Amino acid sequence: MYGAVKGRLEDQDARKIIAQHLVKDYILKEKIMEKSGLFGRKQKRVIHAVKDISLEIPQEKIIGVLGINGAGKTTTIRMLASIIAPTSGSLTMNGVDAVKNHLWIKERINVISGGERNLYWRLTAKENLRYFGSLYGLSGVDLDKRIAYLLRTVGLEEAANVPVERYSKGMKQRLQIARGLINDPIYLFMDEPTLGLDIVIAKEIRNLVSDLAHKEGRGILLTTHYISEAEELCDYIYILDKGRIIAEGTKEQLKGLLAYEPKVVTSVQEPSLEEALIEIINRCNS
Amino acid sequence: MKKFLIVMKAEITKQQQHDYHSAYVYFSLLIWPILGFFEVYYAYKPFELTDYMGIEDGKTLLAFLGTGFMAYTCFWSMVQNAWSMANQERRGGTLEIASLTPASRLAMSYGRALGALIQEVWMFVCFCGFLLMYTKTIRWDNLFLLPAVLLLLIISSTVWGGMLNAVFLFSRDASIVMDVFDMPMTLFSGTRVPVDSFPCWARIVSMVFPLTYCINIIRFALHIQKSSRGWQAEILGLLICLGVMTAVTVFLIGRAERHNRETGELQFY
Repeated sequence: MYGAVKGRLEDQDARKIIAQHLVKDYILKEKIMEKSGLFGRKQKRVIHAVKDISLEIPQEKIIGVLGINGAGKTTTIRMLASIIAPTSGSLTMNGVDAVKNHLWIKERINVISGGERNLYWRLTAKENLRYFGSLYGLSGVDLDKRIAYLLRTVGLEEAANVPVERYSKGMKQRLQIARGLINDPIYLFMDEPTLGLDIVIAKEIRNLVSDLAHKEGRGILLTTHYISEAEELCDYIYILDKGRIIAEGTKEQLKGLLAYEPKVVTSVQEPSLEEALIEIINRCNS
Repeated sequence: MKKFLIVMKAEITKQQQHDYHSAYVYFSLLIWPILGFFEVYYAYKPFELTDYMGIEDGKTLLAFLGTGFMAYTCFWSMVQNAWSMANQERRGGTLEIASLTPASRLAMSYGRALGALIQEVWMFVCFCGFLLMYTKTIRWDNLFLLPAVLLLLIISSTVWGGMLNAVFLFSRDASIVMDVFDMPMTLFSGTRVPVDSFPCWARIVSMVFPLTYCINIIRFALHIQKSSRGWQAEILGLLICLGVMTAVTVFLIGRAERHNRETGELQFY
């Protein structure tokens, strides 16, 4: 154990992450060029990245966070994953104050993002997993067994000793998932995990994500720009815009919001989640 | 403590796996340091050496420069490694992933330093070891001094490297550190020129660099050169330097961690 638990709340049995009124302000340093002078001066400006977000991530569920670029999705994930501290608001994980006990939280969560970063390309899959596992204090036979299990789970057993730089995009993404599971986290934060993948690999990854939540009992927070992915995977969806939650519900509930606005129903078919999302954001902005 | 050692071991192993993929690495391990060494040796050799600061002849000069370059290579490899690893880790996104784990940042810093030290200088240190035997600076009767000297170098360089790793956590471009520690460290720490031959102001500057004390202690222990300050003062100076560097490392890591919690970026600008 890396740190003693401080401020355990009464509701110890809650199997969920609860965020209440999270706010995150950043200080942005802008360079102002004067008419004379070479270097200019710096001016500080406060950016309200997340204004007020309350959400829950229960175990065994996949929670979607959707929104356009700059809506505050990544900042929200970073706060929930204890990478950054919220400016205000409360955050608990299974009843434990996540802001005060961020080291304790870090043992029980992990983050998986899309793209090809976050891995050592010159190292093999096994070497990558051994390194990241060691950072969680794992070693010896336990770590070897965990690595073997994860490589089998993500289908990289045969490529275990090949340097990552020779991997395809899909293989790298599968290794990212294995890396994210190395500490056997209770909660996973997935930031666009199928970004840039072809439809076959993306489907494989989606099946894996579904199993991680519904079969293995992990709580997953998923952000994605692929609406069909959210529709397929998410049990509950939050829609963010300009740092606030503007709508939430199951995909059926979100689609149902459009029923009160006949102009958007352009065909006899049920509106898609994508139409619902665009309409909700447009309504909010107007 | 067990987890601290696991993290250190993981860092050392990772560096070894990450950096040893090409035979060209032996140029930086052995060829360039030896070329640098012989460049200085042959620059000094034509001049008449009549007991200048204890350097009496060609063999003493070899031993003097050998010890200087051996210690300098250990310290300089820490600067290079901290700079290159910090850049790679930041660009590759692995720094952020590491910051997501509960691993001790102090263990990571020292692990990186020790890993770099072991893999980057061992060949040149072997060369210097043979040089010291060739010049009969190390003989059978004082062979026990060799591991003692190596231990001193390993501990000092690791503490130094740990501090540099912490410094590079703050910035994606701390190239000023390279500028500060390249030529000034070579000159003022007495790698090539005895510190006692410096004017007073330069001797004061030399006290800032832990490498100065390291080199002086090694040369004193191997009877290459006496220290005008006395060996006790050199050891005390080194201990103070190591203490200050450790304190600075702990402080910087704490600040970097707090800054990262504020902004999500392990960098100040």
